[in-house]
Amino acid sequence: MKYVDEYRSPEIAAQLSSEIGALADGGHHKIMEICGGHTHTIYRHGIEDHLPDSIELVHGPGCPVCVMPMGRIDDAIAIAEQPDVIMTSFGDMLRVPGGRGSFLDAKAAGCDIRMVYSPLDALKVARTNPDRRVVFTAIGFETTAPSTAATLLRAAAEGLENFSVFCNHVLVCPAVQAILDAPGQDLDGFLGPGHVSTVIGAAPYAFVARDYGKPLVVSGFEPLDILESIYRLLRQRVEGRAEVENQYTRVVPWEGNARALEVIERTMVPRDAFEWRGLGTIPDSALGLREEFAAFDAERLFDLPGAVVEDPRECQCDEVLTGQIKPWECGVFGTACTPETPIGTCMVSSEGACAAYYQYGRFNRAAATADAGA
Amino acid sequence: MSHERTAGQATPRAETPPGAALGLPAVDAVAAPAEAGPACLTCGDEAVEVVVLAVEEGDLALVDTGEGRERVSVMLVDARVGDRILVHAGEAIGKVRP
Repeated sequence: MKYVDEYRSPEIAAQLSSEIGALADGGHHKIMEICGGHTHTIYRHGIEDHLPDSIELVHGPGCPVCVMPMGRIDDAIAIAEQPDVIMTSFGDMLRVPGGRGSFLDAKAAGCDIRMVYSPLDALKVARTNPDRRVVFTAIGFETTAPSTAATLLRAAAEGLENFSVFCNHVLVCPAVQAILDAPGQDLDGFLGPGHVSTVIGAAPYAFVARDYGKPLVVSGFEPLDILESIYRLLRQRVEGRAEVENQYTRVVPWEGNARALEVIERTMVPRDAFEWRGLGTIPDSALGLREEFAAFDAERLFDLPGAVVEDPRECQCDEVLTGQIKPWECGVFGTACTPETPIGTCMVSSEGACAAYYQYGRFNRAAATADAGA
Repeated sequence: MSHERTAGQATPRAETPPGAALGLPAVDAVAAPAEAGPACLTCGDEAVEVVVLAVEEGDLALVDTGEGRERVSVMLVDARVGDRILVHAGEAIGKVRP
């Protein structure tokens, strides 16, 4: 299968792994993979087993489900509780716990909440239910923002009056900057997100190299993509460089997708600030709808509690999301908190660091190492 | 639950583009590509690379996901038959270089 077989070759992996070993020799390299898709690949394919101990991979905030604060879930449920509302969202969102439970809990209590695979599906629900108000809870980084934006343009062109968006789109660069500005931050480099970069390009990460002196390599999602990107990061470090490189050139143009950026620009504006789970409030880090799209903006159409809800005391998602602890070091990992009954967001999406560890049995690292390569 | 999904179900064939029959802008059946394994829909992996089978009216395209046919929006890319495109949440956001 194209782009699968050639990016999973064990021979090339072994070669890359040995070159990485040679480059990594004698140092400690703390590398953050920003994107949850990379986290998923790393644990699904046991990438860490092919890396020397001197390379430490830290999971970043790039799972949009994981960074949703509980207060926003409560807001979305408050919308869903209106009697004429059909709430739609991606499947991963349904299990995310808010302060008053999850979408699934609200559904069990009688709310009409439906899972969709795209905002266009939500639009279809609106067309077929003209007497109901259909709301799409939009989440995601710059990967899904174009989809929401294009859907808003379609809804506007159609003059659909019963469709609105509860917008929770977040931006990757402000989050990376917040991590770089955090006290005690000691990262040595970044794997840059692949599909976000398809939209925004590789250029926006320039500040990471220029202002913070850290290398960043935009990476694809196959095992060899990740290994090659780590190799490139190490080579930069060994050669004393800090640059932005694009490993994922088969998909990511340096300048991004101008048309996708344009539809985002036409429909959305950066918010002054947005609360991220684990990272706190970050300025200019999320998108809201433009005034021109007020008629489609659920935040303007509905009364929202807008409360800030503290995470459960036993949940250590914030420490996982900032790389301070590994998932298995959390007090409730795999016991009180599992993918079936998540306490924290990192256990909800399969891209969440905790869910990835849980799914692939990585909480027992010794056992996992033993069957690596199977 | 009245959730609807076209994945795995019979979708109109490429030679009878339904976009033409339905006219604009009725997007009748749009779904994200089939997922290979438990991957998050909001941030894709390799499963979201699909091949364009037919370009239809309304900036839509019928695509081959490897597991079935889906209809996705191609508003944001220049999609031609045979192109491999990257789809996120039902929207093509990039083209994969051949």
